[in-house]
Amino acid sequence: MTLLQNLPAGTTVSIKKIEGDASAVLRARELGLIPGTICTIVRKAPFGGPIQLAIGRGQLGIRPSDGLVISVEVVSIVTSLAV
Amino acid sequence: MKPTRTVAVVGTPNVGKSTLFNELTGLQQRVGNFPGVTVEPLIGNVSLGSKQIQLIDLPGIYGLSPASEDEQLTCDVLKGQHKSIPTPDAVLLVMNARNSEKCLVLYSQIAALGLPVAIAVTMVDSIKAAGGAFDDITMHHLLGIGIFPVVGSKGLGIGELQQALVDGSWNVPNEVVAQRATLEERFAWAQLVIDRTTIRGAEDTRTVFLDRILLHPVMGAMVFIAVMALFFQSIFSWAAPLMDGIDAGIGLLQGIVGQNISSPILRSFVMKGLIGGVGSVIVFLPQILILNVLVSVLEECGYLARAAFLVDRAMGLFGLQGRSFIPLLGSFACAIPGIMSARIIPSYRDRMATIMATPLMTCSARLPVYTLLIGAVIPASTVFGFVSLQAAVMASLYLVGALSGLLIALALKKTMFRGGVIPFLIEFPPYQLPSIKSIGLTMIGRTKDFLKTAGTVILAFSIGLWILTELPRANVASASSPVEAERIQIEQSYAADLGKFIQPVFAPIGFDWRITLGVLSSFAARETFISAMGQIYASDVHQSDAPLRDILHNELPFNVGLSIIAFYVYALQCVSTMAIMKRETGSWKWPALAFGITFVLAYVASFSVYHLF
Repeated sequence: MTLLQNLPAGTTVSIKKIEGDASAVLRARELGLIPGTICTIVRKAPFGGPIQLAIGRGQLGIRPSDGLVISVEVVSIVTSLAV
Repeated sequence: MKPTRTVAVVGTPNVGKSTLFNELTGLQQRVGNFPGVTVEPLIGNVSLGSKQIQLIDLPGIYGLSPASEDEQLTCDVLKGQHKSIPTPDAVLLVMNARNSEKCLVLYSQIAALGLPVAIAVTMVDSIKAAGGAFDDITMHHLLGIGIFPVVGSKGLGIGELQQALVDGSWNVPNEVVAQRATLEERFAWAQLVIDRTTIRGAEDTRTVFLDRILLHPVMGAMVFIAVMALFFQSIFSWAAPLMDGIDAGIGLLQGIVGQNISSPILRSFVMKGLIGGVGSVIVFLPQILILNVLVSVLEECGYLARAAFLVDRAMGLFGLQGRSFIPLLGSFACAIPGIMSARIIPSYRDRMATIMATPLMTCSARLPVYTLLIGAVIPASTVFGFVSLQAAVMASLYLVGALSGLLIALALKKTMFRGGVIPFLIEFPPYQLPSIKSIGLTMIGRTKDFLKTAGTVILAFSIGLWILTELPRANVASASSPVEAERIQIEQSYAADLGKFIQPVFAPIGFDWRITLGVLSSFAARETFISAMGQIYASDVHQSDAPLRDILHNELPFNVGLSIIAFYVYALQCVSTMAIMKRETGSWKWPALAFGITFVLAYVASFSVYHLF
């Protein structure tokens, strides 16, 4: 298990655990980030900026922080996907 | 004709809810006026034949556990717990056919409320274009309620939906999951419904392609800078002719009034107190409208969410998140539209911190003041051989203002608005062409909204200022010219007494009573400083025939000039901004706090500058 922000763009992950601020966790879950969901890191903004995630047919912008810790498991790595 | 019932329009963000609301109600909409509500929902009427019903457009939600003030309102109204907004008779849920999991999860919670529900499904055209399909009849049989496919931007399916709204025999849905079901269970149920009703079709290649460019670390940043440059350019250049037009119109109106009212005091009251005071704020209407059109276009076409993604890291340095940059950017035109656009920030704390930073962005009303004072006190020389010193000072004032505003936001986030931060978490809507009709209707709404504020709070303030500057009436019979008469009037007004009375407060920063009076009179609007200084120094101008800038150049010592400039960088001398702040935050506490913070900063800055130079 590893943290979402530690993985490179192009990685497909399975969400394992979401912790942090209660309202942030709830919002993340409402947006579809629930344990077991498979999603792909589309791209990462430079300098530790937010991450673009593809979940189902939706796209999310998300910045993991102390208030929102997302643990994931790597499913597969597709390096050609990211730009 | 009175509306027979009220239907709440509800949906997750980015489903095309406002476009649909605009299509359904057209011009028959207004800002709902409910006591004690800061987030004012839109109310619109739908009439067909002899029947009329009322729609209330509630802020977007993902579920019935609210995270922001906007969402709290929606949840309270739906649960029938709101103090002043009555419980609706039915709920119209707006669902996006291409991305419907979250909408169905929301439905699973709304179905348990016991209210009649119908679903309007948007983007059915786009799902067909992608080679997919949406089966509204199967969904109708699965959920047991009315399902209405619509294409909001083209008006398709709107007639049927309007008919259903006025007919009003909607079903109360059965609960679809257990009351205490977890989000996991709700998503699983949503997936079952989607599997039986929707073929999603091909991926939205346009969005993937545009994201590749617009979110690219280099290309994306370049496009962002270009968009922002265009933004600035349009707020300043495109608005200028319109603002000049309004200015001329106000002047014309004042001229007509001036000729037709014989009583001097009544004439002064109507010309300066009513028309002049309110007019000086209405002049900003073009900038407010252009800013709002641009924000709406950027939001509807899907770029705003991407822009927030791009700047999120930089805003994070100041404890703010990506969405805060729109209000701050807008405030370079005028803090009023800036504060109004802060509604797009869902987190209460972030919104407050952003609103508190807006008055420090250099608004266009400061520009004429800076131009006059820089021209008067900064020598017209060049540094490094080619940079104009005056231009460099002007640029640094913009920079100092912006940086100070961001630091205030940071300080507030570290103290008052500490904890419970909502981390940056945003849904990227697919790129699409904005609906012109919807944007037009939003504009009309915003204009009405702004004019209402200008006609009430701002009118009251400008009458107050008129009383201060124009009463008691002086005997101006001895005056040699109208300008001289103005000077005599202002020197004998309550404002002059006040200026002299509080001048000792400003003495340590180098202001004499005349500058104090100029600063006081500019509380209506900063650019009033120029006309006030013109009136106060009227006799000098009259005698030497030199422009005001040269008079000030001779009258003002260098350090006093800098001290005034420093004061204008910080001080919140704008009653309209404070009035809007009160309206948007629902309490006088925030404008009072902003006034206090900026006044202390202004005083300290002026004091330092005055004693350093």
